[in-house]
Amino acid sequence: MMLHLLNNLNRDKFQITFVLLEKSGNLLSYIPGDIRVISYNYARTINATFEILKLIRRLRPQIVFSTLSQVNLLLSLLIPFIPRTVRFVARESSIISENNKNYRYPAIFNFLYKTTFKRFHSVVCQSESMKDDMIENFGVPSELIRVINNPIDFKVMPAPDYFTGTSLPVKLITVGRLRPEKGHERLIRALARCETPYQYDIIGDGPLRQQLETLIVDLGVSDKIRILGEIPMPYDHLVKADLFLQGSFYEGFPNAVIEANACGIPVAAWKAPGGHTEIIVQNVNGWIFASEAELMEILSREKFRSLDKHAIVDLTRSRYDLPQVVAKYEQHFYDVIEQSN
Amino acid sequence: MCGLVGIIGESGRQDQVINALDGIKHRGPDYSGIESAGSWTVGHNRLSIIDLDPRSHQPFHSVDQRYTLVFNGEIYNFRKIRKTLQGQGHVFRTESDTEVILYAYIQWDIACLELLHGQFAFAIIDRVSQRVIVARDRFGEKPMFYSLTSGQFAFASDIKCLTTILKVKRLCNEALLDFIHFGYIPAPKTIFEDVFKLEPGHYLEYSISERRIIANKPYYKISFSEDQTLSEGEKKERFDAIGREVASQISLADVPLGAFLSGGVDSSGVVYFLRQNRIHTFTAGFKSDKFDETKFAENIVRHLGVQNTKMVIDIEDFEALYDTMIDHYGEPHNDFSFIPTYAICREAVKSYKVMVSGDGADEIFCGYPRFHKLRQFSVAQKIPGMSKFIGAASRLLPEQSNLRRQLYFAGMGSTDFFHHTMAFNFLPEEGAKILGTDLKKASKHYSSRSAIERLLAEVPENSHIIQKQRYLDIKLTLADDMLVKADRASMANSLEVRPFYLHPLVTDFAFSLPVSDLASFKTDKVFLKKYFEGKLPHENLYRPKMGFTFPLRELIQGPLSSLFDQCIAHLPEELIDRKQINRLLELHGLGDRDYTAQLHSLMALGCWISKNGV
Repeated sequence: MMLHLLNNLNRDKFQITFVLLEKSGNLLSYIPGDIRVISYNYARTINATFEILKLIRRLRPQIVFSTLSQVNLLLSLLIPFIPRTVRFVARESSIISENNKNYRYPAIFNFLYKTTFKRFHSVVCQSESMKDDMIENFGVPSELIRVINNPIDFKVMPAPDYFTGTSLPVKLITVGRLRPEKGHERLIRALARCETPYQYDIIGDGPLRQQLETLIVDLGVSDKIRILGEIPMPYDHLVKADLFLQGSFYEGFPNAVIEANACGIPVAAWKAPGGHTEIIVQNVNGWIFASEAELMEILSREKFRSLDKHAIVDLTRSRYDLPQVVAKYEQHFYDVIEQSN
Repeated sequence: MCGLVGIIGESGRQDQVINALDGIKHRGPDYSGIESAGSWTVGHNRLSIIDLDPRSHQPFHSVDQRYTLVFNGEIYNFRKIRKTLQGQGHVFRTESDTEVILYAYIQWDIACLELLHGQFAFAIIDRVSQRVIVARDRFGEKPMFYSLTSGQFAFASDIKCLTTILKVKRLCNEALLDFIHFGYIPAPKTIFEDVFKLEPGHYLEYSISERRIIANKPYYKISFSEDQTLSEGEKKERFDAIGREVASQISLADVPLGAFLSGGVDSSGVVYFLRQNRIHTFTAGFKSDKFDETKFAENIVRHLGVQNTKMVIDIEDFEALYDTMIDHYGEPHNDFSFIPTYAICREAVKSYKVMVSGDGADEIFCGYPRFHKLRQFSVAQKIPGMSKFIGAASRLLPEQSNLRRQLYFAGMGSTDFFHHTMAFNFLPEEGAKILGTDLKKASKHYSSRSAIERLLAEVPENSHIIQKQRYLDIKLTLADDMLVKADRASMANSLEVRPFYLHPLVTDFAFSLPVSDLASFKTDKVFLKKYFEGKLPHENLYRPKMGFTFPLRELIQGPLSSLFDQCIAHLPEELIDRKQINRLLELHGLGDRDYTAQLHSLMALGCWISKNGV
């Protein structure tokens, strides 16, 4: 999301300085050459505290916008030490109450979020679910929260294959980090019992990879399920699939789901808290299923073949097209400054 | 280093192009070529440096004759680019960088400009698309003038070519106002209406069929990014690697090559990196001790074990060369260090065709004394109301005091502050007093302040004051003063000068440095000095900065006083108020403040006017 904003914010309206706390990763080359980048080498966010404080006080921007949870938390602690002319806008990328469970001491993080997040001038959530979580669990006032969905850059998406074939096996796909909350395990176990011929590709990597590969072998479905590892732009795989499966136990706003839709591919998502319940319109661009049996019905009846791919793409474009999402952010930044004035 | 001329839009201009080329023979004495086709004529004088064979003479054509190129400069990384182009299927018939530019453009269009590391100004004519592309290097090392009048487009390395061809004579009052303030005329303006300089880091696209300029854009912008990821040791290592790579590239020549050495950090650093090449150095000395740096140069010669030739510049040289200076600048220009620069180039060219210099380091690495003062000032700025307090307190000091002037600037708003710090000639309030009737009228609608405003608009507003000053120094002082002087003085002797510190590898590195590496509270050029500690003598690194200047005050008041009077006499009343000049002379004579630079600017202007018959 940050790269989308860096590349698309109107240069006539915004003067951008991008601060990289750790200069590494394979996305560095996507940072546009015309913006000022100030880069550091802090592997741990907490070590950058003093530099961040010094930098913000030096630059005195009108808006500080951040999108990483740990950075957001750090900034919320620093806000009292920074001149009031600087406004802070935080964007979270998942359901915080669920995400905090992954920490060793979730209570500490919950406490910090409850006490300091209100200091932000605005919090951007990607879905209504995230917003509800902020309000109910962390007491962030509703008027501080703005929901802006993630965008899709249709310029880089492949042209959908509008031909709906009837061939078997059914081509299934999931894209995402191989972490417990993504629910790959329950999808694999469900599919192991599936009688409809299928081929299931899992794109992604993570701490659970070994475990999942062992599970696939143990269940005897190695000929049907494969883990392809991380593929930076997996759109060519997406566009050839029949159905995208989402097994997450919670999601802020799953980019992979809207990317699948942008390729004309419907999505079947396991019912769980998160943004996919706002993305999926039953029988239009996919389904929310509550049980293994419901998933099997979707697969056995090949319901996905009856969906109109044009309608899926059009719906996705009308909601998440990059220029309109960027415009929402631009307007929001102006609104934040206006309100503070 | 060469000279080029082109006229687009009228046939039968060969004679004019030939005459224009004759006028700039000194830029390229080795070969002269001309090419005409339908509605255009281009010409080129070559100073052969790389691939001396006639196959690399210009104008240079693509094999299919679709493209014609005239080019002035050197591309240091041309071999690397050629390798890439060969991989794309291009077949080269020469060993020159000229051919590399042409094929790079054919392959990548305008995007090739960012890949070229070197000094250049060139024009490419595309017969098929009927386009002319004119481009200039990032910082303005090589000149390019152009004009578009009555549907005719012309370009040249020297302003006199255009004034001859187009018979342009109308003075630009706005440029004169700029000259009064800056001591030179910032791009894109020139002294003449209808003649412009292509700005550094820009390209221009002209449509032959439509007879208009369809683009005039930057292809390069100075970065304000900061890389805080490197430790001091890592930065030194990186600069070490960069210095060695640049030394390797910049010493590529098929002719003898040397280096200028003054004994200051910059030139000493250049010689340090080139020492493995058994480089020969040249040093200029003055009879007056006040301006003589030769003992510092001797330190370096002994320390690095390089060869050195020393020459002494005498006062007689100044008078003899004054006319040469006015002539080669081509428009009013106040930098009289052209004289010693010309003298040393004249000596160097007897043995070498190419010299490497330390030009640009003060701008790129913040070497001027004002930078550490700005660092001090930036701390004071953080205290609310402090700027205004300082400005008000300045009035307690004597009126002619330099400190009063500096503190007075400190109390100003940003644009006015820089408008004053960049006044290398008359301050705004002083300049206004000496204007004649026409310039006074023009000053109601134009101020040199707008040049500062325009440039500051290109800088992120919350940049450090040092970064802003550096930007202005690069865009103004470097582009339109220092590099102009270096180009004119060297090419007047058919000598190519290559500024080491303006190589993109060096400048990209310098632009990524945090402010603390540029200036501290006490020191300027912090990183460069730290890097050379232990590599160069301490005395050379930390001595007070001396410009490459000349005892001008004594000259104007003494042996040159009659020349001064003659030049001033040519200043029309419409431009300069003579009574004010006398007042200035009185103040200068009183000794409270030194008006040498200002008086010389008027002398130079008067001399230029008399020689150009305007």
